Parts: sequence; C-alpha cells; structure tokens
Amino acid sequence: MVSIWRSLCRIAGIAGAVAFCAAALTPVSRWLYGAMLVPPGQGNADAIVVLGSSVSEDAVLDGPSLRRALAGTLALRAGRAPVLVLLGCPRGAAVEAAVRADLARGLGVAPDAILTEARALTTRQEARRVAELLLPHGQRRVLLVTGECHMLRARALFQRAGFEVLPCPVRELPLRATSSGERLSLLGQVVREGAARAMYRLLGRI
Amino acid sequence: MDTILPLTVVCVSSLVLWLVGRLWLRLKPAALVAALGRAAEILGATLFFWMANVALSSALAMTVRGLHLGFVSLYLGSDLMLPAASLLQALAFEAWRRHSSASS
Repeated sequence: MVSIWRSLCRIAGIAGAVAFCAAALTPVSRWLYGAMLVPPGQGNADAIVVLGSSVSEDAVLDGPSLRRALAGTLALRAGRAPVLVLLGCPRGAAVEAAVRADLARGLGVAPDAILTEARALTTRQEARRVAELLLPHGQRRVLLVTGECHMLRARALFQRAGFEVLPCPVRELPLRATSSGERLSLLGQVVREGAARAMYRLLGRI
Repeated sequence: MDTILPLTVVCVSSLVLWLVGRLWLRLKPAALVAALGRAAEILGATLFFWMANVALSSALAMTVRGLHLGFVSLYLGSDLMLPAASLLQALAFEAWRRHSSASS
C-alpha cells in the first residue's frame, strides 16, 4: 500500500513539475486561455448588463469589477443601449452595484439610465434577477458585459433565462503574457473557469 | 527577459547548490537522484492534498448553500492558502510515514 502511494506521488510530482514548467515557460497557457474566448457581438441592444465581481468593505471595486463597469459605461455612452444594468452584491457596508452606479454617474451617465441589482450572489442568480427586471418590459436583447473567460458560461445562462445575448467580453488578464507570473495567472483562470463550466454542465445548468 | 531572468537565476543558484554539495559537504552524486525522487513524491503528495482540500472546500460550500445557512463562494477553493497548507500537510505526512517505517 505504501509503495503504491509513493509511486502515485512520484508520478504526480513529476507530472506536476512538467506541467508547471510548461505553463510558466511556454505559450501553452495562452493557447488554453484563447480557446475559451467568445468574440464580441455587433449591433445595439435593449439594455447593457454588467455582471458583478467584487468590492472591498471600504467600497473599492476590484480590477475586474472596475473594468466591467467602465466597459458598460462606455458602451452606453456609445449609444449601444438606452439602459445600463449594474449588478454586484453587498460586502459589509459597501454594495458593489451602488459603487458602480456612482462611478457611472460620475462619468456622465444620466441617473434614470441606470438600474442596479444587488441581490444576486452567483452568475445563475444574476441571470434570473435580470430576467425579472427586464423581460416583463419586453427588453430581451442584452449586451452582456463580463470577463472574457467568464463569457461563455454567462452567455449560456442568460440565453437559458430567455435573453438574446450580444457578448461584450472584457479583457481582464494580458493575453500577450510575457512573464511566468502572467502565464501562471492565465492558467489559474483557465482552471477556475474550466472547473466552473464542468460543474454547471454536471448540474445541468448549461 | 521577463522569463529568461528568473530562469537564469534558478539555474545559477541550482549550480551553486550542486557545487556546495559536492565540493564542500562531500555529498554523493548518486544520492541526488534518490533525493530528487523524494522531492517528486512530496510534490505529488502536495498536489493530492491540494485537490482533496479544494474538493472539501467545494463540498462544504455546497452543503452550506443547500442547507440555506448562508452563501459561501466556490471561488474560496482557489485561495492561495490552500496550496501552501497542502505543502505543509504533505511534508508532515511524509515525515510521519518515514518515521513510522523507520521505527517498525
């Protein structure tokens, strides 16, 4: 039993070291990450929907949240839809959706063009909450703004909720990764999103 | 340069370690092969403990959600503390296994 354990560990260790070197020193991570991407959709929509990420308890949006909020705001200002729906749940006293709405107003978006939704904790809940918000008003075509790696799963969930989805993927990691750290970050994102997609498929959610 | 520099640093320090081991500490070259095998075993054990910790984290998160006790993000399974703790677990477990074999 012990020798089986040692052999398995040794094989796993060698495979792990080889995988680490391949991920850190070659373009493999970039290829894997690139295979997960969805191209942006063209045209206008009934509403722009910006998915949440995270906010700190002292109301600082994390990198992905800020990038997505900016992309959604720019899309609204470019006239791609008349309404901006900002999602993001509370953390302590800070509410991500409210912080993003403040940012959008500060960048010149009219307050009556902004809707917020702060109750959704997962992408699936976001799709449901937005469906409750928009579908009763006939707003079916949405420009979906989220991280480019997250887009495939998010699009599938929103389509299931009854929307026609125009993807607006936001780059959150440098695809032209030149350092080992950047390549390993790409691989980390691939593994995280891959595991999430596998779980959603297993549970029949996409 | 972003990749070449760290790689060069690791190669140079590994060469220095090898020279220190051979010339100063008089370590046997054949023992290095066995030592690398042991290092691979510890790395493999770390990976197994890491996967188990991630699976346990996900199961606990789903249980909390399923019992409506609150919300726990599944992304907590990607916390950097888990691989670090898994390494410590692997080192402790392997040391325990070796000492048990030695004393039996």
